[in-house]
Amino acid sequence: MLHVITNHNRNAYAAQLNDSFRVRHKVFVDGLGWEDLRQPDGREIDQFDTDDAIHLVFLNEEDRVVGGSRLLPTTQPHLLSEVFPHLASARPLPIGTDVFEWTRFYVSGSEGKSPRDNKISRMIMCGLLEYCLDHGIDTLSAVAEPIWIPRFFRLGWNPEPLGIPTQHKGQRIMGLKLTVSEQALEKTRKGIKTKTSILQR
Amino acid sequence: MTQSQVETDAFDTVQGFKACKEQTDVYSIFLKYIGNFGFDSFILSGMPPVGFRLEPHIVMQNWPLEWYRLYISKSYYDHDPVVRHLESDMQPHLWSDIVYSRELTDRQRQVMNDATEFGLHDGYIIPLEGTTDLQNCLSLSGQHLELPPYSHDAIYMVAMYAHETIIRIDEETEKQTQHDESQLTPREREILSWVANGKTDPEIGIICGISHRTASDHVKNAIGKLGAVNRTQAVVEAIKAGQISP
Repeated sequence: MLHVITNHNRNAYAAQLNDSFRVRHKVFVDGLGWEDLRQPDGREIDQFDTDDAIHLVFLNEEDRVVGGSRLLPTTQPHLLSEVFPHLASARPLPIGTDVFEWTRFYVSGSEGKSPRDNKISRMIMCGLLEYCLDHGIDTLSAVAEPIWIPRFFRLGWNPEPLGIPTQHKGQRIMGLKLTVSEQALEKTRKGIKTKTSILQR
Repeated sequence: MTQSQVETDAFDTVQGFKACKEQTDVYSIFLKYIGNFGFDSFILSGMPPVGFRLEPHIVMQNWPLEWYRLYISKSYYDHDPVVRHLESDMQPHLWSDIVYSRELTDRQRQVMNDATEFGLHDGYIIPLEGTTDLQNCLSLSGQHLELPPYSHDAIYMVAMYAHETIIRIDEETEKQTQHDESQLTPREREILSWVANGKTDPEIGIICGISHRTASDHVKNAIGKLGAVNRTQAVVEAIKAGQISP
């Protein structure tokens, strides 16, 4: 199940949250080579992991983090507003109480490649949509590789570019705006043949 | 073209795809867009394994006819160094960058030379995610390309949206066709009209000069096509759809 860790329940989830920072370090630093995120304690924590960050962690039967993602309120400083504003050069950055930035999408064991199409990544996407629908979040912004465009399209997330893709440390990235909808959830669920909730409420 | 012109152009084009209802709309918008950079021909195709026929996988193309015929008849697909390069590197590339980076076989060199003969001097190949197990690719070409450095990624993005628009229209057309399958044959309409008039299958059989079993089959087919559960609902649905008169 996908568990939601916010400022309100982070004490109850202290171990899992800690675990998620370690998995993030394995995936992003050791795997993808994002060296500027390297931390001596092996926990990947950046300036956006504040009290406002919403951590979505996928726990297996042994209560271990096998994947997850993070949502940041766009009314606060976030990746696109602080680090990559140039990725929204053609369209205004989506900002609002109903807009969250989707960052740090990872699946444990997928080191060295982005979480493309395995079942866990799809389940995380389903749970993320469920969370957004529950909380009136109708728009997501994200920094993504362009190869995600077809996937988002076909899953009904309506990806809209915010700027032209650019090269960043040998990787092509771009700013995207995504639309959250029941239809997107339905289509995303189809691929993993589930009709039931992934989200621990 | 300045960077902001390239950007505006790309975004206008992507926006334009949203209103496309026909493949021909995508075709003309895309051709106009790539024309800005000197591309005048393209091919969009699935990428079958070497040795398999390319033709059934071609989605859209406007190559010069003679070049197309040569490419197919001589199985150039199997020897095209640009296509072969994608096997190991799924990124968009200029043809010339690929050609300079590889040791070409005589056969591969011949493909490129012949392409030039037909006005395909240089090009830009873009791998795209297919809807089946096969990868798709789009190859753009022309005689005199004008590609500012930032235009490559803009074209890549526009190509992705063009491709997704083509897929969207395909799906819509398919749904439309499925919807058309609810269209009753003239015979079914006639018989359903008798049902609407309260006739039983044996009565309809007599009226129409067919067996009651055949009449029954026509009614069953009509019920199925209209997605109805019984003959009464079939009549209602057919009237609603304007297929029989009330």
